[in-house]
Amino acid sequence: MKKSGKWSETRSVLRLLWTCEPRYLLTFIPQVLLSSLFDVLLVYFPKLFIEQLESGKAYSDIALAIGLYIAVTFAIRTLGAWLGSKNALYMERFSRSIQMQAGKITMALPLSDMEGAKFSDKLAMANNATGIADALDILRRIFSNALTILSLSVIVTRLDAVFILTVSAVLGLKVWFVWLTYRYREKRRKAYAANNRKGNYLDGMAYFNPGAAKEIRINKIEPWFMSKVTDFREEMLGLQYGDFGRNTLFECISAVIMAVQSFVILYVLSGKVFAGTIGIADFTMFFSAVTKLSVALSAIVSDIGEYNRKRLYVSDFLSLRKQETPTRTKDTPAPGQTDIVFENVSFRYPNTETFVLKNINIRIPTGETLSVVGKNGAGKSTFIKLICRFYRPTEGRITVGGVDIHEIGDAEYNALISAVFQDYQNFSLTLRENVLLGKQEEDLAGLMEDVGLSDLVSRLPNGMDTYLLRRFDSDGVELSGGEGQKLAIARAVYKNAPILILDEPTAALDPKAESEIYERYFNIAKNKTTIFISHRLASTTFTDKIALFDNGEILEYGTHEELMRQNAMYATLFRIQSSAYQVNS
Amino acid sequence: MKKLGYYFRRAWETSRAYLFTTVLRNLFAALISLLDVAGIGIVVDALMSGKPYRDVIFVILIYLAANLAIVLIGQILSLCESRAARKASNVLQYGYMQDCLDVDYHYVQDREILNLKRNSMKAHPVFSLDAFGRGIQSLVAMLGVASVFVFFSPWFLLILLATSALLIALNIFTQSCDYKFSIERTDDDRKLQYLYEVMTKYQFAKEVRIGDADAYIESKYESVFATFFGKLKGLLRKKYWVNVLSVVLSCLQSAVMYLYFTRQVTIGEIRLSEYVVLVASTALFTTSILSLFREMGHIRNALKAADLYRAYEELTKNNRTQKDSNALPSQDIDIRTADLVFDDVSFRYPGASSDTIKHINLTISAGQKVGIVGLNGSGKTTLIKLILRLYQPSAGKITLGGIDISEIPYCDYADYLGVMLQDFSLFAYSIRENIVFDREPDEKRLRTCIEESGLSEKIASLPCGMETSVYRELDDNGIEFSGGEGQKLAMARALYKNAGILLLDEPTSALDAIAEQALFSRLAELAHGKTTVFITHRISSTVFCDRIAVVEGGEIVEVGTHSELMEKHGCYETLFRAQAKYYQKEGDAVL
Repeated sequence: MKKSGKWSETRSVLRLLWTCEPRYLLTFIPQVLLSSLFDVLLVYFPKLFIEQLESGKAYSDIALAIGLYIAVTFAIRTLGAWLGSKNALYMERFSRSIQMQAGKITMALPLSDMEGAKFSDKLAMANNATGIADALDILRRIFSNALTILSLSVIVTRLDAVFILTVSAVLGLKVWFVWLTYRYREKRRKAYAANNRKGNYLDGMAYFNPGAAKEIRINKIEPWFMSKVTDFREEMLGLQYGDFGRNTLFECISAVIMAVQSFVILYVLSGKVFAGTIGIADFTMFFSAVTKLSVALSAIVSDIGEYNRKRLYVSDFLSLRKQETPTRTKDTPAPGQTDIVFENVSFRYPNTETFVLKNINIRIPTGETLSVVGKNGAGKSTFIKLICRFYRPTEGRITVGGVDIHEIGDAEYNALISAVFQDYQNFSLTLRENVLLGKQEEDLAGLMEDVGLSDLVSRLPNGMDTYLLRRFDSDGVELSGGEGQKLAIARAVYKNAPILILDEPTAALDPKAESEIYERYFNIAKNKTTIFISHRLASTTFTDKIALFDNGEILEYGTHEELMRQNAMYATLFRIQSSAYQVNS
Repeated sequence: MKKLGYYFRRAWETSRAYLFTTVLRNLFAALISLLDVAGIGIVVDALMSGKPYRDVIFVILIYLAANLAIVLIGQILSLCESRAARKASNVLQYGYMQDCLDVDYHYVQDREILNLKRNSMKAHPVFSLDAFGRGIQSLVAMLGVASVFVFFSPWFLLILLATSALLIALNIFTQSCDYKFSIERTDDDRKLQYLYEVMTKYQFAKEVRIGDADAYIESKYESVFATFFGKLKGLLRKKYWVNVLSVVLSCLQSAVMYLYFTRQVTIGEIRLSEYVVLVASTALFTTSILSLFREMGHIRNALKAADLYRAYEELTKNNRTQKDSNALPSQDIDIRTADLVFDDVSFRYPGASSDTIKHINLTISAGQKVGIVGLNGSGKTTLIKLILRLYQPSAGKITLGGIDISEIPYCDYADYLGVMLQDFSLFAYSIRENIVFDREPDEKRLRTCIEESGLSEKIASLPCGMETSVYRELDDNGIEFSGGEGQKLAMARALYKNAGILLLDEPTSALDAIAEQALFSRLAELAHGKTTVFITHRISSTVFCDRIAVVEGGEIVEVGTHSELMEKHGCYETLFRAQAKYYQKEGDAVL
């Protein structure tokens, strides 16, 4: 069962290779052949020379053989170098195309599939595209060693059965022992993983975290922190010392086995020399053949182990490829008709018990502005995530223009919605690219003016073509929180979608910038359906309707005036927040 | 030479055991490779000498036994070596971390020092000693073979040296190509890695989907790779031709070797067993000399790295004690009556071109609650950093109870302050440890603090309660805290310290209105009798403060109570109105 999985994975990855990078396979096969051919030549030719020397052949004859040997070696090595160079080139392209595919697949996945540690582990493995390349490299070694073993065995079996049996016995012992060592090391690897995790965490805190650096100084907790470090280091040393001892033992046993192997082989072979069955030339050839055989066998055993480990990268990538993207009927709502309707929508996050949204019914007519307010954890952000189609409702359905949103085609739905998230991300590309994201360029100056970034743009050395952050371009600039948010707003506005969502757009801004944004924003968003999330109620008074969320339900719904008149939770919240501003004004 | 002296002095001081065992083990390794070459000759010689079978077997046995003994001794040495190496590097790494926590805070932030630190981490001789070891191994093996050749045919040795020199030259050329390329490719690699993260990381997922950016990111990735691929192709082509040249050279070398030694055998100059040894020796000579050369490169790098380490040593020597350089021995301060005074304080960040704080004069009387408000970037948080002594004022001084705070030993000073930072950090250990750390636990106070900060409900809902780990980084059963919960935990930590002065930097930015309101009402009680400095950009949060200072452009522009400031019709009023506007519309109707 396990074995068949191993082979089917190997087959799949070879098939993948064949479709993405067939040239790699074309260099792969001759490389295997050449390297084992070379191994055999190294065993055979020295024997030939010695034999000719022993038999007293003329120097010119021997020189001819030497010339032949050199010529063949030269041909094999030059060809090998050429194949190797092509191979490296195609390998690089192959691993990049693997990475690219992983990225493409991920971007097409529903967001719900991306959450959870399991997915990120899987992705981290597939990300390690070189892991797949390594697996292929190991595979190549395994093949060529197998071929070498095969051809050397042909040489060795020319001797009698007793010799073959002795050789197989010592080699078997050796192989068994290599396998044992490998298994042990594999087991240890897991023990190290947990220890490594601690080490990485502590390093990160001590070296790369200015917040923690302040915390440690102010609270005088250096001794506490260092005691954690000591625990980690002692555990690590314990693991390593144990391993060093064990490894030395393994190596020593292996050396003894090697010595026994050599002795047995030499003993048998010398016996044959004395019996006159073989000459000195054959003696050296058989000895070096058996030595090479032993090396190739050990290599193949540990390579198989290694391949099994690297194979995980392959299987993770393959399972990533199997991730399904949702199928849709691709209905589209009539243009200009973007009423958003929630029909009995309930939702809980995958693998959780409690419902975050319960039986939500709401209608947001085309062109209306809606505020969604409520306490932390009331379900506001989840409400947005469902509209953005990041998750599918657990129960009920959401329609836009009368069509279930999960039936609308990806491109069509994307064109309907733009959003600025609370945890918005700008890209480490140019300002221009951040706004356009590949769309056709129109005049951006007016837009930058509208969102309040034109000052910044005129200050930057390369204007709109200045890079952000240093990830992509090392001369990138860093934006302040407020500026970053404005840029995210510019991107959302540029998309010019009929539905606009703003999640806590003013959290990072001071009061002055906040009021500026509010005013600008309401100019920009004219005629669009707009959903506004905030736990500060100040923004709500502007909007057509307000929905107060509490505990996953819509508790109150109406205009600001209506809700104030109801004198329930909204009115209470509003009073609490405004009280500070009412006292003296 | 001086560098070499420094290098070995450091290595010697750090771990004599490692230095000693690594040299010895590599000597043994050289011996083994020489013995391997000689071995086959010895056996062939014995076989051809016409000695009886038993004697031959005896020779074989002796040879293998000697070989095994050396290998085993080598293994034991290797064990000692690895242990000594691990121990030494462990001690060093522990020391680095301690240094890093000991240095003054502004060094932590300094980009130049940060880079130096990162590079010097692996720069200590202990991390590169193995290159020296391998160098010795290759040198000894090479000399051993050379001495054989000197005896048999010095001419051939000259040919060997000449071809080896050419091979080395080619090798250097390839290495420098590789090195240049590895520098060139970091740029492309970084770009590709970044784009890959954009495609796959959760943090970008929403943005990519809603921004319809996938096609663009893909095309960007492809175009970066296409440029990189072109460069790689060029490099590989160049390397291929160099490779062909070295194949030609080494083939020539073997041709000369075989032809020459075969000739020697046919004219009876050398025996067949010697022939076998010489052929094997030639191979060993070539590999040894090439690896010796490679190691020389590594050794050069090791010495360069040692320079870096020296710079690091110089640096840490000077910045560790600065914190307390002005400290006078044990100051007696009664924190309950000590005023915190800013006396004409100015501050400029290292490397900045203008002052962030300009001539600030402010007295925070003992027991008073002072709110500091201002726009983003006005210098509020920098004031806190100065009080915390993370930075020293460039001019003026801050006093506590009349004593310049830089004269108070930091250790005592830190006890006076309970702090909640804007960018507070939680540690991936239990909730209890995050509040108490390794201080004497006081269950009652702990419970009160949890209660006050509004965390008790959350903690009661956790199966492991106070012992639950924060985050899942180190514990799969840990929990992720939301922004608001994190702030509450950080608040509990500050309160638990029970210090005389409470510094709170934007403590409620992630809390909802009700939680914020509840916290403020408790805080008024809690901070009773304590000096409290409270920083915020939301004016509504300053309701419980005795006095409010408005900071603008690094200066204090207004100080007073809420009503005083409103009457002034200045900055404060403008700010207040900007925020209040949204509550005004219905205000009259409601109240």
